[in-house]
Amino acid sequence: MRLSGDGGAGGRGVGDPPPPERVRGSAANRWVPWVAVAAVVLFFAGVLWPPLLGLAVVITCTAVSSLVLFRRSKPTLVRACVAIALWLAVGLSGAWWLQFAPAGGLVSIVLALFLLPLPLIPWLYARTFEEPDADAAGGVGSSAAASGGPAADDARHATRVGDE
Amino acid sequence: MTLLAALLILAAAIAWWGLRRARTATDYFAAGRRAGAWLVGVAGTAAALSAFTFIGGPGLFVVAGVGSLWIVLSAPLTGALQCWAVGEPVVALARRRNAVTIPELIGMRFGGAPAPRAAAAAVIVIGCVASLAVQARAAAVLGEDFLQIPGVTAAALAMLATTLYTALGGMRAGLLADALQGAVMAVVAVVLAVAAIAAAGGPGAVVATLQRSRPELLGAFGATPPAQACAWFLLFCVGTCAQPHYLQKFLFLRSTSELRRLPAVLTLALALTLTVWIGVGLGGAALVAQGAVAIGQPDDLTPRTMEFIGPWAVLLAGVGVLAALMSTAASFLNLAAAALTRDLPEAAGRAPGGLGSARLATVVVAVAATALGVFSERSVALLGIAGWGFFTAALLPVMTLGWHWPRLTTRDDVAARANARAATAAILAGAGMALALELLRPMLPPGLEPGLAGAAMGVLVLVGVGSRKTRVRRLT
Repeated sequence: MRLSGDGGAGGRGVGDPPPPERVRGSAANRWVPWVAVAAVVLFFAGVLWPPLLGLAVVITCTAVSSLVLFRRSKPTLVRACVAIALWLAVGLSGAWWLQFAPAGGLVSIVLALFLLPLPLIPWLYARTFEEPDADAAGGVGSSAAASGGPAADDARHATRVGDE
Repeated sequence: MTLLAALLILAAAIAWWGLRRARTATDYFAAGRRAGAWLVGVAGTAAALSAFTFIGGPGLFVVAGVGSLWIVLSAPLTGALQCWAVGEPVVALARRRNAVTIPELIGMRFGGAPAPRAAAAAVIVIGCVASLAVQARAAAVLGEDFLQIPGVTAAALAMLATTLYTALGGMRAGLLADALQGAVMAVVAVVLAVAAIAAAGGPGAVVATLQRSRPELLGAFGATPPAQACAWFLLFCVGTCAQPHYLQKFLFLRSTSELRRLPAVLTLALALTLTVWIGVGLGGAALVAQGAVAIGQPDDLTPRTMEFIGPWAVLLAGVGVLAALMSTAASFLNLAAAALTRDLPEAAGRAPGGLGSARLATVVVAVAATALGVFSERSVALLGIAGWGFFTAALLPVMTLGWHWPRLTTRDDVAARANARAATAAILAGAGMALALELLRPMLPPGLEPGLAGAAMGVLVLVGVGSRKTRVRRLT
């Protein structure tokens, strides 16, 4: 599920045909603004109705974590992002549920939101880490594509999808 | 005074070491790009955590209760989040193009256009000077509350020591000093947290005391409205991707593979140091409820709790606060010097200044910020608004959405110029909105954090311009 057309090492299964650059970039171009605007709307709406702010936290934190999928997309990385979304959803729901329980509320947030994920999330990162390709490393539009360097035309071409 | 004198000697030694090694801009601004994950992780955490962690944070617990902990609850996620969202592309692009500053990278992302680079540099100068003034003020308070010396003397000596090694050795010296200070902060934080909880009778007694005397401080949100708690979580979670003193540390890594261990180091250092917030907050609040400690204002909680524990705790807390404010100040000094002598001149089409001008800029910024912080309380109150939220509002949209959205990358020169203008507008609109809302903060509803609102504005600007470009093309 590579989202961009940056041409780097991807998470495509063995034997899967590569999706056309235009399709991959177009998908990202369609989804990104909707997710971004949804997070913004939820944030402002959440000021009026706090449960929506909790939803904004889950969506925004997951979306920012998921930006890595633009550069490299592997099933383990997708699962890591889903795990983060679930952790946040469960932790925030628990806090909401126990907000009036003096000791229970304190213990729930310290355990569920702080102590338990403390070793797990860095481990998830290390497990999903991979040395990036030289061309893909800088992300969409960075490196040569954005710098105007000698390889700019090729890189820009690779990341142009969806602009037309 | 003995402590400060020892500090000056140590700072002079580090400055001498750094002076002999900082020979190029990469040495001076990017620590020679030869640091490993441990050094960068511990130093990054030290730079990110200011004196607020030791004084303001625990003090906030007395007012907001458990709700104040929502500022630090995102700590398990922030290390990985930073590396996924910004660390990996920043390290890769910085190494490929030998970039040594964050505004330089932002300029490269938008086709080398000068405007986004200049806007980012201006934001960094404003935010750094403001934050430095707050650190100088914190040093003055430290002198009066912990070290029993005049505040002006404490602020001058702390800033002198920091300026000495930062100006002479750049981040070659700054990184080493930050890492040492980070290690000291982590150890001191754990010791003070355990001591405060023990002084209040242990964890069970702390909860029982608060449940009996101040139940409103407990629960999942304490005395904080849930919307405010969620907004704090969000601001201090995604905001880490926009803090220049955090982002700067990615430029120091010697290889991309160091990123694998970096979140673990960042998380460990952060979790250890933040124990002081939780431990002294809970233990100190329980001691206040028991009547063992009396405080006039929330920020008195840490000093009075330490006095109750004993002189060794006062001295240790002083060391921790000093390490926290010096490590934060060193990074801001170097960032401001880089923006003033490299980014702004280059964005204006002039040659960047050399190391001599960077050293001079470091000294000038330090003197100006110290004078502001020590002699004008009103200025500090105003400048305090240009901190974490200000950087989040200005830089988060560009560093996340702006960096990754394919539509903002193009070979079309007209569209590239439009994207650069959008990035500049997003930076300025976000910063402006955050500052305006900060001035109106007393009137804002809970949850409407100015930094988040500014970032939201920047996101809308980027999305609006990116989408507009497509419509124009379809028409043509």
